[in-house]
Amino acid sequence: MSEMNVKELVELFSRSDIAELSYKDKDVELRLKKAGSTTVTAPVMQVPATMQAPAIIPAPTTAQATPVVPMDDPKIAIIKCPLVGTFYLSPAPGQPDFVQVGKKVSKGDTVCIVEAMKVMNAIESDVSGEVVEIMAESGALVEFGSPLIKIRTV
Amino acid sequence: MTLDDLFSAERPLEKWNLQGFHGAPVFLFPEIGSTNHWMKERWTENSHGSIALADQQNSGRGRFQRVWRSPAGKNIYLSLLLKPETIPLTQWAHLTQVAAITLAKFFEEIGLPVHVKWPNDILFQGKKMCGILSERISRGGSSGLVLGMGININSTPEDFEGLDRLASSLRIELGRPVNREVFLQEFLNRLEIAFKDFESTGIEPWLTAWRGMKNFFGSPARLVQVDQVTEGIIQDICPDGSLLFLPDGQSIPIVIYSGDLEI
Repeated sequence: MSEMNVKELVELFSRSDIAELSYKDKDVELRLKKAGSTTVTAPVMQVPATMQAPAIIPAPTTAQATPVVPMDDPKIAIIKCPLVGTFYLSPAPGQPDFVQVGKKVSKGDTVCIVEAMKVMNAIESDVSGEVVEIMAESGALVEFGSPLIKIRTV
Repeated sequence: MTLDDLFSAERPLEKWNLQGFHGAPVFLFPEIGSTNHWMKERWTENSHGSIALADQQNSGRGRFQRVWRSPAGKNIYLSLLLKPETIPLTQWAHLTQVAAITLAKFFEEIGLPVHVKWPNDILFQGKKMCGILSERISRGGSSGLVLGMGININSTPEDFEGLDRLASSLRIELGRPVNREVFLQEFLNRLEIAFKDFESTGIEPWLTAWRGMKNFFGSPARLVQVDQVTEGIIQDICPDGSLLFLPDGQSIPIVIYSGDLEI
């Protein structure tokens, strides 16, 4: 596996829902684990010294401690992060948040921004309902699949 | 007008004759709050390649709401609207990097060998020449990118006094004023071709060009993420446009998607 293949594999892994991945061929052995998926604390990817490859930088834990509603409630929808970046609840510092707990949202409303590589990505709600929990801290690094906003659908 | 007219005397703003992509309009403003804000309000009604251009911005902003100094009659402040037909969410940042690399190549063509600092700033000897801040907007299943660029063309040293970061302009570095109308049309012509090429080739040729610029890869840098500062070495750009950064004292680089590099 070339170094470029390793980078592509890491990129695909970072975008996927997979929490852990192992790969081995005659030249290289990879073990990929996403931060938060297990008790990983050290480098989350290890390869032989001749094939140094990147680790996905562990993102700070952003989830709130206690869910407000049971997770198996069919009326609950969770907006998950579609890319790796920095989560913002407001369009700019000092401006009002897009949503607060208790606010009604319609499908298509912008509920937050995820900034990646200086592109401010407006994240839309794909459901209509009421915000019951903000699941990430504004200004925190978030990963692909991180829960951002919990909504009780109508 | 051709590139030969780059150092000719500039016409008054109201006489500028510019075209966006495929003849898309260029909206000229002697003064405006923010071209990005104006274009974001009108992105559904304007076509791919439309441009809002201001001679002066009153509330131009960079990331983290940093003030982008926009004095009248000196520089270029524009917002380019892009509506690519099919592009995955994770590749929108490529558009800003293609713009930055195309502009860097144009700077080099006119005599200033700059480099692109990840993710898309343009620097000459550590001094900022251009900043790019983009906003992706969506509605009803369609999306657009408002690509905001502030390009320092004719600012003089006193315009940058009091800034907490080094900045410069083409006029300062080339030693003579530049005709902004000529510069902009020549740049837009190159940018339109670049985006067409990108649609067929993907980002890799641009990353190759980026890697060929000196004074970036292998440089020591400080990475600022939220409140955390990490010192290390800039190693490479990944295929998705993210940064490969090796923190001091570690043997495995990390992949960075969001943060501020200080070189």
